[in-house]
Amino acid sequence: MAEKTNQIDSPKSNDWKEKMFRHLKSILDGYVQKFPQHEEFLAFMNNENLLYDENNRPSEEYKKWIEKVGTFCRENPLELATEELDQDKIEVLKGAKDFLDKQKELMKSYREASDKEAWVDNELDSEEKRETFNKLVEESTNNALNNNV
Amino acid sequence: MYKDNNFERITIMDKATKERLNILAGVSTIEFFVRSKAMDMVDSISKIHPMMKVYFDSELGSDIENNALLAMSEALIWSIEAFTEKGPMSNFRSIGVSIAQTLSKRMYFAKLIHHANTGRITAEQFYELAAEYIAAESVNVINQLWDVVGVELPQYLSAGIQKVLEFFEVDPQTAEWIAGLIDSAANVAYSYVKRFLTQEKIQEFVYNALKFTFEAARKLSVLVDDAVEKVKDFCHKVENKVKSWGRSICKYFNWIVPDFLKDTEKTIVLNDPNNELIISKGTPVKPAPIPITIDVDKPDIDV
Repeated sequence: MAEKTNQIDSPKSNDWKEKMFRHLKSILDGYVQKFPQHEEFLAFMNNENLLYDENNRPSEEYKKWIEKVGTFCRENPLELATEELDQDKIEVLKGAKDFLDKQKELMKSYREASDKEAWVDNELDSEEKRETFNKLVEESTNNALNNNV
Repeated sequence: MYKDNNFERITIMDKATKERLNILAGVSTIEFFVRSKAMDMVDSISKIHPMMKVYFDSELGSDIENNALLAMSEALIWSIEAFTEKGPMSNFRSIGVSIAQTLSKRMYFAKLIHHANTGRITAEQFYELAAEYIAAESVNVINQLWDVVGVELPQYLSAGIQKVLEFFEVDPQTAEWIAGLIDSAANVAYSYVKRFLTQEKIQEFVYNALKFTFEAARKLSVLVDDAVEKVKDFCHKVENKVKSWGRSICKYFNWIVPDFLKDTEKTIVLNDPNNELIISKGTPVKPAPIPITIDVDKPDIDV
């Protein structure tokens, strides 16, 4: 697996990236088509001058579009083109989706937790996990502190 | 580390927790700066499609984020087909986890840096958000890795054995012999991966990274409103120093799961065309039992 990963740094990497970006573009093209005002949106996004203000922050109009697109995404979750994938790949995508959903949920609960230590203890639901987590962070911290770096 | 006095213990824990999150935030931030050039990434990906530009310019934590990351995951899965062979490995669900983990970290941090660079968040906010993300990610990844060891790995091995036997049309008697042999290997692989998870290997990467970046994290923590120039200047100064070991950090963050897979793959040798276990089609022969030699430090199995 590591050898395969290393190929990303090889001259073949351009093929790899191009293929990925082409596919990404086609996924997003299909998704945007479902956005009711997609033509207006795409026309607006093509005009770079309208996107940012003098402080390089999104213009008021751009903010409105971001809001609209965000609302659209919430109400119409992206349906991946699973009919083109075999069952193995669908399972992999499910794994990715589960991870992202869980990550978002964890960030929210961490932000709201008043006691961060208790939060970590609660999320790591076995003594073995907590031991690994604590070993990792405590000994690493000690190492840094003891070395006075 | 702890002393008997409860008050002291709590004080130390609080400090350690804070330092830990700061350090981890520093590690990831610097790693990201050095390796991936976040702003270049924002520019290049934004050019691919307007939706990606909206992703980077939208509020942090907004509704568009998971959709953008999922689209990237799917695109990546299609591309990975060029690198992965068909076989038992292809249904290993943790590959999806690894993809999502790597992507979400890189995309999210690129977005964080983009927002800091354009003054939409202060350095303090940047820092808090990075720490929040990393704390959540650490917990999430540990839980996922445990699932790999406790749930997915046995399932994967079982499915792998079945596929191999079906593919080579092995007769039942020989199949039973092979299954028994591989089952032994599976047990070794399981215990090895579990041991790997709970012992020094992960920590080694972190120690090496933390020793250096502790100072970096401390400096980052005092930055408030003048985020852009100070972070840039700071990262530029440390860039040369971290080059030599930057790859190690990346390995820790990005390649933990692939490393498990690599070691496991070496152990069970399911796809090796020269594997002595492979039986020719139509001429099944029951091989004589051969003892397995196992070196627990080197998980290869000699047959």
